[in-house]
Amino acid sequence: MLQLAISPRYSSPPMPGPLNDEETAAARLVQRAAGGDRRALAELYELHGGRAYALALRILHAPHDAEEIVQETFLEAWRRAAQYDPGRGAPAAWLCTIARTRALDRLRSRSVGSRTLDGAAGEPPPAPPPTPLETAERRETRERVNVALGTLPPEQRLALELAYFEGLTQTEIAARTGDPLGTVKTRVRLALEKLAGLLGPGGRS
Amino acid sequence: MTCAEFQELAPLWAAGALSAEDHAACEAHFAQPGHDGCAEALARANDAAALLVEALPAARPPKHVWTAIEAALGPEASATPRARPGVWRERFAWGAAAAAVLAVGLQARSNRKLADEIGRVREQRAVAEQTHADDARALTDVRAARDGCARDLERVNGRLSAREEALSLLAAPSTSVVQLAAPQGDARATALVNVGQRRAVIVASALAPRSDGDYELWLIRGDRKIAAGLLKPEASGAALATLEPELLAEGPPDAVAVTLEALGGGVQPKGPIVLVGTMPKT
Repeated sequence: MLQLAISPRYSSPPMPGPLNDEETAAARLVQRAAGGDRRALAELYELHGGRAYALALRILHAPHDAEEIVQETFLEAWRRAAQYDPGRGAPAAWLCTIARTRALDRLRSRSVGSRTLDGAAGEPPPAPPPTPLETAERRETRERVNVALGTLPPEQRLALELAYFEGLTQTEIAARTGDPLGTVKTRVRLALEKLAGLLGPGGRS
Repeated sequence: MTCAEFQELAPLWAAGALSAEDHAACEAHFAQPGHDGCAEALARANDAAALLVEALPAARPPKHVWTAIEAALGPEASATPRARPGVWRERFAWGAAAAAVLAVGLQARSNRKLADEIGRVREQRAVAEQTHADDARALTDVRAARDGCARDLERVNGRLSAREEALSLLAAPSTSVVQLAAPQGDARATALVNVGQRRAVIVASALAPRSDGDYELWLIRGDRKIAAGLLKPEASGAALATLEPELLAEGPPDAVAVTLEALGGGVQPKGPIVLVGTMPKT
């Protein structure tokens, strides 16, 4: 009998990556989680649960859906911890990729009607109250990134945000904005290079 | 793809802006050994993209989110997110802790049963949601598949009428696009199916020409596999075939597949699956 097979979307060749101290500690947590250590997963959640939640809220504009995405993200991280590859990015980037993929999948599966009901389409939800556990370092990072985003030409920022938060491909962005495909590619690349400048010359800051 | 080309695309990969075809090409390149800075470029791009999340307003999921994660993990070896030092110390005195231990002991049995049930339901739900997400992803790849199919058509020489038929189907809004993936290898194909008009074309690429067998196309309806003709690749690996209208008289198939059969094909598939794809749900 024919078996319907879905090929894996991602493969992970082992590649070393220069992680800073905090990221190295987080990578060790992922490694421990891969060995079945639930305490390590709990610590990862403590470190990065807020990021996953903020990202899912930004994409879905619905707190209940965002909570479910966070659950799914950390359950997937638990199942796939052994596949984490530091050569592709820090643990925060890995978790954000999982959360983003799941949130975009949910966004696409929604009907237009339910999306409108769940939140003001296209508008971010109201900012949640500041959490007392947010560190000064985290606040400083956020301010630095916002400053960097603020210096981007509006069309570069738009292209980047359409890709990252709405899941549009370069072709779809070009169709949405009416710009040539090559222009869209350049804008996304330049915008990310500008952000990468915050990471320092050697990679992660 | 060269390392330079990969590094040019790495930021678009990290931002999620690549088409399905470019994404697959990048994955294939990255999976190969011997790179000149590709891993560093990808890691840097991924880390830079993750900074977009840092710019978002700080948020913290409600406590029940972690409780649900723990429940889904199963009842044994419960772990709690480690709170910041000092916070817990201030909140809990020894007496309160002892009372909590006693209460936990009394409730442990019923909690375990409840956690078992919650875990089972959540696992079932996770499987269903994953299935749904896969379907949704396939649907959203349709536009990228159309672009890829048009490019594959460019590679097919000759057979002008079949090409025109494919281009006509691509332009029809009611045409369903079925992406066929290879369980192994780089072959891929797109089936353009318009059930209302009883027209269908399959466009394949990277299909290695064989002298010892034929690629046979199948429409799958439930347990039935209906032979739908042979697919003859050119030396370039491109192949194009139109389907007989009667094959679509029963409506859309559940899936489309290509197998490698003995020369001339057969009435039932016996050879290995080369390509397979499910019809998008409408």
